[in-house]
Amino acid sequence: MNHPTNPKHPEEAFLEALALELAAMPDAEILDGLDASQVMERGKQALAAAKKEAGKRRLQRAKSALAARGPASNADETPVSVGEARAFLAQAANDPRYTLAARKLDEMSDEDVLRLYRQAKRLDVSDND
Amino acid sequence: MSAEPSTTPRLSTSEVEAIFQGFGPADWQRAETLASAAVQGLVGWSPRDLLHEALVGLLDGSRTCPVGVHPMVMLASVMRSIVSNARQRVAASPVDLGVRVGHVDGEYAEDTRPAAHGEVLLTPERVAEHRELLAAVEDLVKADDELQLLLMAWADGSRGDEAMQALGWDSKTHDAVRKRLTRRLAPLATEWSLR
Repeated sequence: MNHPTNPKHPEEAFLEALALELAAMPDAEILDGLDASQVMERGKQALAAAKKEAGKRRLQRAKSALAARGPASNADETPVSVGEARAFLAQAANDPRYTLAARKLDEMSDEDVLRLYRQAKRLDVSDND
Repeated sequence: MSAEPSTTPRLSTSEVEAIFQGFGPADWQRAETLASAAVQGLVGWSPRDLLHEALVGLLDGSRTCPVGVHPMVMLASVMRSIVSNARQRVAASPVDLGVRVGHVDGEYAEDTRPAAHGEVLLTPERVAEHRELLAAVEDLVKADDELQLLLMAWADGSRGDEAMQALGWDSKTHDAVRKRLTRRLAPLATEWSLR
């Protein structure tokens, strides 16, 4: 199992051997003299607590990554008038990066124009990243 | 474990979670025994702390595992990495509040640890209590020759039939000693969350 061509550190070898020996032992032997339901309950609690913490850490990493991109990447925070948004989108209609039919702009509500503007700016930012 | 070459297929976090969701009571007891063994000699960590950190690392993707590795080996490897880092921090700085991790917001009724992490200041006296893992485990089994022999075999990379032959034991003797050793390493109820 562990041979001189790639010798493991004794601590690593010990823990790996312990892991494999525990795995090889029958469940009945592992639980001999123990309250299986209590052990299971501790395990479920451990898993639930770990999942909760893992979720927090993933979220924190995502927040840190967003913060590292800087304020210029957040088009939602930059105030813009509907007119400016329409003008931008009218120009974008001629930009091969965007699939946008200029004639549809006149038919869109102000809210839709602003939403589309923000989407286009986000694409613009990610292209430049 | 995360230092494996990037071309080796790794389990996804959802695959890892599915493994743990499938654990029965015996699997959790195995995991607790591994955690208890791995923290031997390390002041400031309980077996529960270590199991928590190992599970979190595997579930949040910060620690990964190659496909095909036995779940217990996966846990053992992650735990060893965590405690190895913890021992290095202690060696670098005796007074390190960051050593205390894994506070689970009091979700466990029996968690009576002080809330202030400053309670776990590692004074020079406590630092001196730190033992290397094998030295601490050897201390645990020093009164039992057979346990010491099996421990040495495992630390040497021998287990199962190989260890039996090297030690000159029949399977009945080997299984009995193995059971005694794993029981000695398993956490006592009072040790599970307090250290």
